[in-house]
Amino acid sequence: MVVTDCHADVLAARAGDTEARDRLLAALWPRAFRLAASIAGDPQLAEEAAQDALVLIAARIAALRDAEAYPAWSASIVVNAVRSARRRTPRTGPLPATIADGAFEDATAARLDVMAALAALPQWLRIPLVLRYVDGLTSREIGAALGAPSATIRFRLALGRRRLAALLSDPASPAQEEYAR
Amino acid sequence: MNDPGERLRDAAFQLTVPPFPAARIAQRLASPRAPVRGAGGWAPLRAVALSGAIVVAAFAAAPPSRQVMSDAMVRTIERLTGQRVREVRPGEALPRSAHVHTRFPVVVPRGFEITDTLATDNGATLTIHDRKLGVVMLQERWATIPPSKLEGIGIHEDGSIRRFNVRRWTIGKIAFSVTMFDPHYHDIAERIERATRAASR
Repeated sequence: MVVTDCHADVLAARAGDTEARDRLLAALWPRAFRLAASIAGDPQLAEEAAQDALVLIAARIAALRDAEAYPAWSASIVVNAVRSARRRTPRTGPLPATIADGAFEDATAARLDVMAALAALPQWLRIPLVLRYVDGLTSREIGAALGAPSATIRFRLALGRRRLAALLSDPASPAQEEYAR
Repeated sequence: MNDPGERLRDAAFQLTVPPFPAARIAQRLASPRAPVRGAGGWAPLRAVALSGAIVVAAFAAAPPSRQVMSDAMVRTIERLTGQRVREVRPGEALPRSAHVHTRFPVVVPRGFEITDTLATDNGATLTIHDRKLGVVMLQERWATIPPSKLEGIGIHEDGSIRRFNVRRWTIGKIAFSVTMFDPHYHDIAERIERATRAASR
């Protein structure tokens, strides 16, 4: 995982080294943006949320007790920043029309298909999938980030994969299933 | 490539990442304001201030009674013990544990004869008379307080010291437990659990 290379910077930033903190933030930026964009499905909102997350991480890094927990900890901050940003600018549809219309100018049709299918999933399935496949976190780390048991995360991942596969093979199929949350 | 996870990963890594906004983040970090505006702006602060004002006004209108035991609590204990309960007067020196006892909301299982109740360190012990097994002890305590390490060995009603199992359940903030010396106790423990759940509804 990319973030484990930053272990020394995490320790230094936690001790108050501002240069290490800045390096950490710069290294985290692409990851935070990808996470936020995958969850939010909106690049503008993702950029705003990723910025919020980085500011929070910089402000709170001194309180991080276990440097090993940095990947899950930072992921949880990004996820919460996306949720806050979405609450500030609520969206009614699963995916903004601007994306489907090509807001990502270099986007391929296949990527849009995946992102549209992902956006059709409910958040409680979408977020674990993104944390696993985009961020590379383990079920345990995802559980720590989302405050859920790892067994629950494994169930959500399995269900999310199945729904995502169904949506990718037949985009018209409904995202809802008989499972209760 | 059919695996949806791999397709998701590839799609995410094809995203065009905007340049790192170092200046913007440095500016926000240097700003004395809160780094991130909450979802409701000042609404949470307003709600907290309003709640505080309401509490202050309520206390001003009706100062809290210094009575430690509620009337319902006194009635419950009297009904359970068949004895008159003396109410603690304000200003009396009370150990902290006694304060906890008097505020503990004893749950009385419906349909059982309660022959005695005893305040314990963190709750109460009800003595239940069962026609089949004789005496069964129902422990009730605050669920937030861990059980004693001494549980697991006790004195049977025949006077012998035995190991026992404990059936535990929790309803709201109260943790219940019944000691079971042999398999016959499982039945009564199950019935007591159902009765306490019925009483707590």
